Amino acid sequence: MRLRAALLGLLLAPVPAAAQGSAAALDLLRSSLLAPDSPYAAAVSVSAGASRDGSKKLRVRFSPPNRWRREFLDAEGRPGQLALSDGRVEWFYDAGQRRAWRGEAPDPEEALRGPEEELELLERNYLLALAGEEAVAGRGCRVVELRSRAGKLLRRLWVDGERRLTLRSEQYREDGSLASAMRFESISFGPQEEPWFRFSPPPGTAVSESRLRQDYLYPAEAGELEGLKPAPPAWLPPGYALESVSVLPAPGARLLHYRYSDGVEALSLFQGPSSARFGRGGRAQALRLKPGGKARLILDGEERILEWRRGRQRFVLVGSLPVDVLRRVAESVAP
Amino acid sequence: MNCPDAELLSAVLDGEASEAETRSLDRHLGGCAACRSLAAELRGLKAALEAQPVPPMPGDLRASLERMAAEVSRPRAPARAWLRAGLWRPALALSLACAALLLAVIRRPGPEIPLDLVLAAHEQYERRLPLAPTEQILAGLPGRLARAEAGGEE
Repeated sequence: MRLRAALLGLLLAPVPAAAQGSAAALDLLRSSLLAPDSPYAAAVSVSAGASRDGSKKLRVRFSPPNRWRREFLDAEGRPGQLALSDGRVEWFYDAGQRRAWRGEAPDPEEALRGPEEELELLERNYLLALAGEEAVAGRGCRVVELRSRAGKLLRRLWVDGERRLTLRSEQYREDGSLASAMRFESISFGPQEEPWFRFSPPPGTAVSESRLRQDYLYPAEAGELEGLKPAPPAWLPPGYALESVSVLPAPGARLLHYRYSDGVEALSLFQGPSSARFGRGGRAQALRLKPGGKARLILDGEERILEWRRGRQRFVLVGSLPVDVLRRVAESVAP
Repeated sequence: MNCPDAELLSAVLDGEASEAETRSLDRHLGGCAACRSLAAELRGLKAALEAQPVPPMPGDLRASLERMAAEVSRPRAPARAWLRAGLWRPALALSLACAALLLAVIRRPGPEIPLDLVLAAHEQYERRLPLAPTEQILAGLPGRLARAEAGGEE
């Protein structure tokens, strides 16, 4: 009888406010990510670390479900670079260099882990909460905060309360400093004409096929395709899971690209033959790896790159995780 | 710093020297015309070697190497007088030099994979994650692709 009363008490007890806030924040995030259904044109500003070319202003156009255009403006406000997609083909164009790259647009249907599963991973690994309301670009937004399980603030998002569009975001480093920010300065909703999402390279433009392919393979499948024995790491940081493997056709070697995430952060491992030679990159330092051997550590803005050779294979690990964590991942790779 | 030896110069050009050695050499090159000229020559030689196609191994060389390998693996005969006299040393040195040269030609390094290319692939994946900083990634991508292509053409 006492047990039944206790169970009834549990069922009738009010859900803690924090849990309610978390569910509401996740719902808001889900609706902003999974079903963007409003076409719009906007002026946006971004600022970021050195790797992402500092501060920029851009003009954005979007038409559901997957057509978009971004014009990055130079100091005089003229379009210097362009990125766009008609849902099937993506173009990147650099007006200054008169170069364009044509690639395949990603198809979320083919991904081994869909957007809903990525959100589940995010929910498992992070804390979400609503943190008030604030206007951005003249529109009422609800503020969503993402924190680590230890309570450290990592992201803040301002989501349009009516249209469910993220109009502002800030990303913070482990030490609490601002790593990057994005903000809509103005936005107007309304149909966007089809020609905005098409691109014809201007005369004199050198056009290349992008090497960035959109494969979604299992490790064994990718290894068989490329004649390489897959050597994924035996240890991953807590919360991380493999999404898929793709093949990167690099100069002189084809690399397997293992893609991991914890729902928010990405971690990439590239595997190729030992004859593959990687560029020098920026600031580099040598690191010892167990049980033997050394790796090269290169810092590129927020990303850390670890490169090493083991047996007849060469590996590159890319992520924003602390160096010791990356080193542990590298040490667990045993081809 | 005194004029560096060719080994250090070569290590710096190959990216195998430490940061301190590289910085020290850079400072030295700023004030030493002779070393600048030597560095330029070495760079040119390196580029010319890398541009050379790998020659096929001549059939008779392959046969000779196979005969030598068979010779080495055969049970050894008692040491001869010339062996005892130490005459084998120059022959061994010559063989090692030939082997090193052959190895250098066979193991000519392939083209360099620009780190910008792997970073672009990483960011292309990152862009698909729910909270990806999409605008920042797209803002940097044309530049990355341009640098990746320039690096791959080296």
